[in-house]
Amino acid sequence: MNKLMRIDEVVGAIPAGATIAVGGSSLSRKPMSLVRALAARGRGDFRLIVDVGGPEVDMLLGTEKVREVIYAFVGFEIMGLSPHFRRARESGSVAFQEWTEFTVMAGLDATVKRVPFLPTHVGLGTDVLAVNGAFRRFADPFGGETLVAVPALAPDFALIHVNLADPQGNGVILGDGHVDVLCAKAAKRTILSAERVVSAEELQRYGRDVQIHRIHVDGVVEAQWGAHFTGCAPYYRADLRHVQDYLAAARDPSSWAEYVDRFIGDRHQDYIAAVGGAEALIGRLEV
Amino acid sequence: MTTPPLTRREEMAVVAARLLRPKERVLVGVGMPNLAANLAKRLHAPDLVLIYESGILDANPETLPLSIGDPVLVRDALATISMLDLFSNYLQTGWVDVGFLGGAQVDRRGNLNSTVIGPYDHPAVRLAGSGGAADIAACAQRLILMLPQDRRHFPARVDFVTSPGHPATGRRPDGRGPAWVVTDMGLYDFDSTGEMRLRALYRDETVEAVQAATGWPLAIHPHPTRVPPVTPEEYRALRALQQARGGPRR
Repeated sequence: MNKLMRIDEVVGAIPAGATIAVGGSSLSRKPMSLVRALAARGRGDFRLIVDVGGPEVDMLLGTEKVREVIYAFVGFEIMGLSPHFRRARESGSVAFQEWTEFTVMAGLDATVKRVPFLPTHVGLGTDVLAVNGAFRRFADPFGGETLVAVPALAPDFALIHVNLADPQGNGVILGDGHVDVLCAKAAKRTILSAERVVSAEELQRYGRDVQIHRIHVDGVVEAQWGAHFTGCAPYYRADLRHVQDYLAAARDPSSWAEYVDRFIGDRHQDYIAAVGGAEALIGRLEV
Repeated sequence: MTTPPLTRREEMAVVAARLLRPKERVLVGVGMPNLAANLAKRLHAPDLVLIYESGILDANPETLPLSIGDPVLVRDALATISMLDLFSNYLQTGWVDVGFLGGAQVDRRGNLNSTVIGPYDHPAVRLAGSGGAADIAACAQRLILMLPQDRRHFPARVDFVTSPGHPATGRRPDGRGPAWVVTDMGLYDFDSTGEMRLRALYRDETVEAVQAATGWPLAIHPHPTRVPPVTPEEYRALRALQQARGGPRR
């Protein structure tokens, strides 16, 4: 089955109010071509589920597409805090649910296993339990130990960027896997963007690196440099120069409007041209 | 050739590196812990097992990784696994010896805040959030924390407990929890009741100055020492690590 889609078709398939899980971590392998398209043309009112979020959360907040964020972390690592996240969090304009990395994974895993919650020690002794009403303390029915029940997280969509995909929706991840496989399994519908789409025969040569399986995938978009300005190991590193430009723009409302105008749209090729073209990116960022 | 002396921040990395023992499995947080753990690997602990939360087991980075997704971590690593596998089947089993974390605030029980400054619902500064810190603090055998020290970073009570320290009633019953705190003024351990305790001062610091930078009456080890000076070997290793760093190419 051929699942190839265009970016604008992906945007059209995601309804207002959808709960969207995003793969990658912070400055690594975020599906930025899809995120930019949603930021430009998405219907909005989205709930985002991210384990380690970064530019995707910031950009969708900055373009007012988000009503709630379920997250363990939103930031730009050594490059700094997330400007729109900070602003939204400090002004209270968007709902935020405080989770941790393992509990986000446990919540997604509960959905995969079709159980309402999974137990863990994580969260005991922290204020995460005080501010996130989704979690419950409970007594182990066998031994009586106090544990935390992590409720299932059920995304409508997962957006994931992979190194390679075939048209049937198998995806190769060559660098670290983050929570992407889990997002693909837990979401009702999963869309992959891929650096390159290859034939099924070629893809299967990657063996164990075929981490995303077609039974979990509904759409495949080809987008070379599709993670830019985050990195896509082992092909290219995060574009820290653009990260700096992005952060400077996101901190200041007037330059943000300019940034949105210049870089945020649903035409990936236009974006690549706006950041200087593929040749320049190869020179600066290829590993 | 000029050889600028280490800044205190750099010296912190040396002090923290010394706390890591050979062969230990260390889950490395971003920022200062990353520098310190990579330094230890180039000094007394070449077989230190570096684990990064993005799913990298036994990383052997040639240069200092700039982010948790830096390709330099993937190359020469024992394995890249899913984060679910790492957190479920390695971290939670107790396999990780040391959790190595930074944060915005720490209190006398070693509770660590990386979530918010000010009231949760009306924050003065919204930080990045737990990430894996709460999970690591719950599950690693012992924790090393690294923060700058002043009344802002060392309040009587943290504004938010992101990562659990020792309970008010005593040390954590599971034997885990904070073991060391490295700051730009001194080195701290935790006494038998789970209270943070001054263990060593940098050569130019005084107990009075450290107390003035702390938001509670500080416990002091019966025999506090001075932090041993940075050795030439440590100095060279740190500078080499910094110089080899890729950084953004402009």
